[in-house]
Amino acid sequence: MSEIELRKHIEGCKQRKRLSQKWVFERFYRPMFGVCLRYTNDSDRVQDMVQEGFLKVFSNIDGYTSKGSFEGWIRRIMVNTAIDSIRKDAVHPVDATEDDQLERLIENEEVHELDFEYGYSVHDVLDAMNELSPAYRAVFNLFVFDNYSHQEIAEKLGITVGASKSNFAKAKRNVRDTLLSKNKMKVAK
Amino acid sequence: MSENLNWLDRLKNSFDGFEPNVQSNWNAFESRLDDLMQGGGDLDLMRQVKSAQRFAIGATSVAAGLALWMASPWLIEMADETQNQSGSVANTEVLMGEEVPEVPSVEGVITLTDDGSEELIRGEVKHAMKLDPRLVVETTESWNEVEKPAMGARTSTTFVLNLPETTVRGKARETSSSDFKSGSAAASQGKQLESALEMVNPLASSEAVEKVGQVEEAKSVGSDGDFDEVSDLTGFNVSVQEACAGTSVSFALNGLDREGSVLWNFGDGGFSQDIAPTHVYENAGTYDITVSVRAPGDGTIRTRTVENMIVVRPKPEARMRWEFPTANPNRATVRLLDETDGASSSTWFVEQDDILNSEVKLDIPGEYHVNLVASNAFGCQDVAVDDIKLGSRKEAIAPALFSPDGDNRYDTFIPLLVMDFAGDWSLSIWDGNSLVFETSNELEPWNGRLPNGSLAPKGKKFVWKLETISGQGERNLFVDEVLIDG
Repeated sequence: MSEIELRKHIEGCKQRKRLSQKWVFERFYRPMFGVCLRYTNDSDRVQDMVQEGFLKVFSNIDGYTSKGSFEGWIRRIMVNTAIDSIRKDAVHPVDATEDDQLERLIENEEVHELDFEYGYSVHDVLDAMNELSPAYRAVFNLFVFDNYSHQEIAEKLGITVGASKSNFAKAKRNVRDTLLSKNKMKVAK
Repeated sequence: MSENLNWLDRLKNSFDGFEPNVQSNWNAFESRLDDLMQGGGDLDLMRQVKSAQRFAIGATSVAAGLALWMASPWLIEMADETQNQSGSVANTEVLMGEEVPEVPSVEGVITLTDDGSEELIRGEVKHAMKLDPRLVVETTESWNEVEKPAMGARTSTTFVLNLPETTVRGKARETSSSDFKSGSAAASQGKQLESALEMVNPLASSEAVEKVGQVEEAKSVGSDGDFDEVSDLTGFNVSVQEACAGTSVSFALNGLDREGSVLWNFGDGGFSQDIAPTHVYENAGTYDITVSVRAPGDGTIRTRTVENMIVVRPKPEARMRWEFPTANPNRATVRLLDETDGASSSTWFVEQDDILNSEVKLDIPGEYHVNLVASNAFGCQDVAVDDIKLGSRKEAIAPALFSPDGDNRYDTFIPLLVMDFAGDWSLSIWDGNSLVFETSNELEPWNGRLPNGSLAPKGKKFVWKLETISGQGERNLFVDEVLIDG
């Protein structure tokens, strides 16, 4: 994909050209599916998030200013869509508790325990994240993969910064424990 | 903590380039997209208007009591609907004695947000349709854009017609469509129609000449010639006023009872039943304005025509072009040229900034939105919008180096973008300020020869510039360096 071809199709999308919309949709469908898949393991729901996200992409395409990366822009829309979808989930309310002590405890554990020699497969990590509640999963994803600060996460999820940090700490510990228990990595000590 | 970061970083890295093996189902998506785009027809209109950098958006449309009027105004009203730009609310009243069955109206509010963050445009749409054979359609749309201040692209003209309430009283009578159309109403019963015509903000705001109309000439004729003439119209005061083609002109009637019904004939084929309509004159010329007023209750109809009431000045067609006098791999100087016919002044905006002279330095790579506001001698303005796109080696798909040593490997230099390029292009190679080579033919790439016939020395860098104009008129400049390699 050349940059010029991409620019041409972005312009086409701004003119509501169907072929350009199709091109963008097909070009970015899989990576964006990957983004949303991090937020939920229900593939029907992922598909819905991705489609919802692309609808936002095409209706807000004029808001894309060509300054930053187009893929990064789409990705942000996808993350927002995923978060919106999860927030609608009344079954799994966001954990708004703050627990400084736990946070520190977990940080300390990690210094001693976690120096893994090998990387992880995507499926290992996805499996580990599937063990998390949607709220923990969202915080973990936003912080680790989507580069949100705790401040931004707190604003996005409507919780305090402290709650975001302790949610993250708990999520991190759970993911780590799951990965460890699967014996899929070596601990270099 | 560093181990900790490593752990999470590696977790993150494991997802790099992750593309699950799923099929994108375009067809399923397309139907959702169709729904969005159809339902978003108004959004689409707003988008277009916005992208054209127009600052007052509105659509006024009235097509009411259609059976009451001739067919032609109806068609014109419909055409008008797409042209009106100035925010306004249209109220339609049924000029008909009979009751029309009520059908529930549909109301909705559209709020368009840009980039999901700031609210840029607010709009409100109310549609009421009465599905009656007598066909009454009411459409009210109003928009205001809060994003940017006007860049002077709009001129606004308002005519206010003062119409004392007494003037619309008349003897009670039956009103019917044919009556109105044929103009046989007994219109002479009322008292004198006194109207003052006032003009507000006549031309481009910067050059506005405040004029208040006061009368040299007063004329009135029946709308169809056989309308009962009202003889006491000497008080109908008017004055010739100016407006710009393509901009909205507002008309207002003062003193009319809200119950009264009005028909404006704008003299260019456009009609409106709004009490305070706006109208866009697309063509320059001198137009007569006719206003017909029907009294509430008794249906007395009065018609006034003011000949030569409005002079519409031609609008310039803003056109721009640009050149790249100098460019280095990081920055290009762009000279902006106003090619508008008859332009007397031009104002440039690059991105959001207005620039003092017509040269601007822009970083490469980048894409820059350019607006030209061109004014002609009448103070009428037009806006042209275009993008200046500046690319580097990457966008032009050009090698960073080549080795003109005759070994048939990488002996020549040409950006691959020009291969099969649908449009014109020109490549130039520069050594400082001196031109080394120039080509517009992909079969004649640069072979590394300098103007004196010698080979460019190894290790030397040359700046190249590639200008392209696509078949659609899109202009790009690519600038970068190429190294002569061994």
